[in-house]
Amino acid sequence: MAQTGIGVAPPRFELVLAAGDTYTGVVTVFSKNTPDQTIEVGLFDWLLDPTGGVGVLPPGSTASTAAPWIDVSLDPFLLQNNSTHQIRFSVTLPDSPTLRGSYRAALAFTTQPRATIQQGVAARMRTRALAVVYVTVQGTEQPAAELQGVTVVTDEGSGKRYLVADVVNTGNVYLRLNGELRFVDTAGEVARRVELPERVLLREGLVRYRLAFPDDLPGDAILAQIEIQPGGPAGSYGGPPLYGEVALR
Amino acid sequence: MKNAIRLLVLAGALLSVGALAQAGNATNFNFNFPAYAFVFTNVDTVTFDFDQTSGTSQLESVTGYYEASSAGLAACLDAFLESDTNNTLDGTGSYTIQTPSTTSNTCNFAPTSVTKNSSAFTVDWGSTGNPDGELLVITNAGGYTVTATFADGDGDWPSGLNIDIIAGVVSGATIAGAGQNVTSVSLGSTSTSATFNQNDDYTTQFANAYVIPQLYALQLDVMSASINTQGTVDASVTYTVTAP
Repeated sequence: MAQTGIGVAPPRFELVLAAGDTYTGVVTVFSKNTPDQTIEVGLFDWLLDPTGGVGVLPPGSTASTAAPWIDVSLDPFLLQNNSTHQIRFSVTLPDSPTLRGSYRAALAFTTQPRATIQQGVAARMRTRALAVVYVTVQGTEQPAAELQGVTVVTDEGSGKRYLVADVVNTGNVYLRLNGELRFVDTAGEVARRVELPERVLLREGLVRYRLAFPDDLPGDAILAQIEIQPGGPAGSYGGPPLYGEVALR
Repeated sequence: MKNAIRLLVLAGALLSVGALAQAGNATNFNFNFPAYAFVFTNVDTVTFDFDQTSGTSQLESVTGYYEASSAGLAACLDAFLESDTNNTLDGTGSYTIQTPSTTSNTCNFAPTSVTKNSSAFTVDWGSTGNPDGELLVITNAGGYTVTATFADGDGDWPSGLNIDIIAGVVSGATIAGAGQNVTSVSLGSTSTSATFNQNDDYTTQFANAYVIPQLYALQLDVMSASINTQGTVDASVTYTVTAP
C-alpha cells in the first residue's frame, strides 16, 4: 500500500489544575487503510501563526511551555493496519505561586517516510497528528482580548473584497473565538450573515481574520460588522464580545 | 556576463516508485471516538525522474506543466535559451549550457510516478480532471489545520529546487481549487511550511470528513540550481493535523 496516515483521539486535552495537582490521561493513536507503521512519539512546544498554521518547536522553547510537567514514554511503537494503540501520560502542575494563566504542549505521533529505492528527485510523505495539552492554573485566569485593525481590502488580481481584522490576546489564558460577519443594508437590516469558523487565540497570540465578502452580497450593503465571542479555557468565561465595523461606501 | 548552468543527468534504467495502485478498494473511514482527528494521504512518495527520453505509461501529465523527463526538461530550457551549442540533453553524463543573463527562469514539471488509492467516500470534484494525490482529513473536533512542513534530512536538496503543492484539481488548462481559493505553495529553498484548512477542502457526503486534493509539481530555478541527479535527491514533507 502506498498510503500513510495517522489519527489521535482525543486531539486535545483542556486541563484546569490547582497547584500541585496531577492528571493522568490516555491518548489513542489509530490507523486506517495503511500498512503497518512504526510511529515516532514526541513531546513538543507548539504555536499558531496569525493565519492558523501550526508550528512545532523543541520542548521548553516558549515561555508558556507545559512540556516540563508532562511525563510520557517517547519509545516508538508499531501501529498495525486498522488498529489502535494507547499512550498514557501524566501532567503534574508545580506548586509555584509564579504560575498563572494557561500553558501548553503537544504529544506528537509521526509516521516514518517510506524508504526510496529509485533514482531521481523524490518527496517522501509523512503524517503526524498532534494531541495538544492545555494546562490552566485554577483561579488565576484573566481572559482578555482586543479587536484591532478592522478594514476592507481588495485583491488586485481577482477584485474580491475581504474584511481583515486582528484579535490580540491581552490576557493570560487561551481563548476560543467564534462569531459572525454581518452586512447591513441602507435600511439598517442585516442583509447577510456569515458564521466564522472557530479559531484558537493562544496566550500572547494573534488571530488574523481575512474574510471574503459573499459573492451574492446585495449592492445596497453599506456596512460590514464583525462580532467575536471569546470563550475561555475548558468552556469557561472568555471575556465580553468584541465588535468592529467598517463602512463600505 | 553569461550565467552557466550545469546539470548532471541521470543514466540508467527507470525504476518504478512506491507500491502498485490498488484498484477497486473501498475503505470505511468511520470512527467512533468521541473526539478525534485523522490525516491520511494516498500518496506516500512523489518522484520526479528525469531519466526518460519521452513520456511513459506511468506518466501523469498535468496540463500546463512539462513532463518530468529529459525531453520535458529540454523543452523548457529551449524555451528561453539562446540558440547555441551544447544546449541539448543527451541523457548521459554532464554538460554545460550557456544561458542569457536574465533575472530568473523556472521550469515546472509534473511527477512521473504517483501512487493512488480509492476510498469509500464519494467526492464530487465539481470539475473535470484528477489531482495527483489526495489528502483526507477527518475530524469531529471543530476547526482543523493541516501544516505541510518540508525537511531535507540528509542535506542533499539543492537550492533553487522546490516542491510545489497545489490544493486543487486540474480542469482543462487551469487549476481549480475548492471554492475560489487555491493554495499553491513552494516548499524547499523558498519556504519550508504551508497551511491548508477549510478554505482548501472539498466536503464529502460524510459529516466531518474533508478532502484536500493535492497536485504535486517540481519547480526548478535553472539560473541558480545545480542538480546532481546521480542517485536520489530527496526530502520529506510532513503533514501535521491539529484540532487545537
